[in-house]
Amino acid sequence: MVSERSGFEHIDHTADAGIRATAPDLSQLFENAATGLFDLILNLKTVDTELTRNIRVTATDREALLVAWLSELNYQFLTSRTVFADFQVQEIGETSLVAAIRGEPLDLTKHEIYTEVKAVTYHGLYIKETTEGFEAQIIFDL
Amino acid sequence: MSEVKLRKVHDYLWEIPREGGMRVPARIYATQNMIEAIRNDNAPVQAANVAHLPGIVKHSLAMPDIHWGYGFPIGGVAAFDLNKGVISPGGVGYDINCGVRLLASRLNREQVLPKMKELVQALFRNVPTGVGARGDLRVSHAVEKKVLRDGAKWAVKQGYGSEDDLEYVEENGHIAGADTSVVSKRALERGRSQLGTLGSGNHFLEVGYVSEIYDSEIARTLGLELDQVTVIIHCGSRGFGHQVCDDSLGVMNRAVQKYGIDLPDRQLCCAPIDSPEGQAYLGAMRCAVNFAFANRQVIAQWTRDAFQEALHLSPNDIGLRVVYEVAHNIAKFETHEVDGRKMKLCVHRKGATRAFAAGSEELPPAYKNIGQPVLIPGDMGRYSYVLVGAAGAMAETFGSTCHGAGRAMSRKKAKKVASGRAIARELLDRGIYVQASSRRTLDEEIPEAYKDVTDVVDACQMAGISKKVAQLRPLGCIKG
Repeated sequence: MVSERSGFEHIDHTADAGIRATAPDLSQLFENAATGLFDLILNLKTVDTELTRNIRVTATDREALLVAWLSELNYQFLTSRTVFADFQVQEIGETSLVAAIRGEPLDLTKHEIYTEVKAVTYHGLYIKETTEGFEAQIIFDL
Repeated sequence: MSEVKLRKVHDYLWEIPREGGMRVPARIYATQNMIEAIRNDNAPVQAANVAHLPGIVKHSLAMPDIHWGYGFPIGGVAAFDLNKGVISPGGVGYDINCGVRLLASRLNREQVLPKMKELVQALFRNVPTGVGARGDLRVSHAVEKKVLRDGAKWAVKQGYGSEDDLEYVEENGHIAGADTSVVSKRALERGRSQLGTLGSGNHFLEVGYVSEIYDSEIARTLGLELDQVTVIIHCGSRGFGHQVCDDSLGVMNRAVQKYGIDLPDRQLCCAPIDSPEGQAYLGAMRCAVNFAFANRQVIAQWTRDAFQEALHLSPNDIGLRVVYEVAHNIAKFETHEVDGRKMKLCVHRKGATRAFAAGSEELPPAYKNIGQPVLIPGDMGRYSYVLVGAAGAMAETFGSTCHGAGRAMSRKKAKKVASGRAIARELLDRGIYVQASSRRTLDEEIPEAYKDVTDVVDACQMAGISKKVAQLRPLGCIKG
């Protein structure tokens, strides 16, 4: 069951891991997927959101946009050593989005880190419209 | 293709006959017991899917540790004709040149046991592990490019280990044809802070000892004896390789359309070997191969340093000579005999290890008569194996064998099984001192989450593609 409060759940996959996210609209779907990704990477409760970064992502279609968005967040985490816990998608279309993400510099003494995500894959990827809004599935290579 | 027909070739080999768009049959090495479990995974379908790729030669192969992977199964081996064939990033995997190095010390178990705690702590201090760990080596962009071109040779020049180490590394720790001009900024950026880091997940550095010897003559040639303390380093090209793979998938997806390649699964995306897209991937992949070679060379030196710190012995007393190092996620150009004719091929190994038999030209002179050492890590709690390549591999598998145990449980299931247990404590009770950056990693990597690696190496031995030489049992381990 997708938790109504978090809007995502972790799904089982033999060697890797994935998430299924739901939301009433596309913006929240992307936000929930981002929270799901970072919930896999670290304990979100250990993160304060003191710093804001604005990002813009483009892709060829909606599914590719979801992969590009999550890949961008993972890249930001891995290269700028900043952890994120709050995601606000401000504008979203079929092929581009603008978002503000909040977090703080990585501190290994403070943040409880779980795992490293090598890549966001296209395997089993979907975004579909449901009676309640949207649902998406993403598998990560760990 | 949702179901595959599996025909028994002999007790350790199964064939999926050619049908539909398959250009060659697929073959899976496994025992009767293993094949039942393998059947329940989607991996045999993946092995059959690989058989659809243009220019594939002889068979799409899978080793006994086959399991589901992105596009190609893990444990897959596929060789392609250089003129008609393709190169596929999915046939190499995200962790390009993930591999294993074995070091042999001059110490025996009794000398090291009383100091295991200090030793593991020193290793944990010296070798950065886990997510967000930064190596002490924060190289500039210019230096990173040297690493990508020169691999472990770069590391030796910087004082990490010696030239002698490189003789016992596949490709001598440096693959030709690395093209830094085709590497993305993102890959460079991800790699820069991660040189000299172990990573997380199933990667580890383990101190162990030789617990059994199956072939004393070959073991003697490798310099291995009972109770001798050893070190296994298992890691790869870190974020650099992950990004190279990720970058290439988009390019390859477009190449599939451009060259009109018909695929049963989009994740098998590929390009003709001699196309610009194929050459660009090969150039970038080889950069990642060299990154991983340099990474293990640096970590090996820090391992030697940690032994000195913890044991207060001289480098000479400690030893830690390189026995061998193998790559198990790689594509290489190799010459093999196919139907009595020598052919230059592009051999993809994804979760499979090169296992050249005695007499192969690529072997270091000291190993010429015994075959190439093959290093097969098991799980944290049980054992790992040293094998050598056998004649059957040259005849049937393009000189390849298995690479590890393979997971029996998903990470989520392993976490559930480990919940409420103190895994580090349990391992300590079994005489294994473990230190990890993340408790969750230990839970996900519990021994029972993996299949018994003995079944895998035994199946390879029975099939005649590699031969067991020695078993190593763990004494201590660091993980991400």
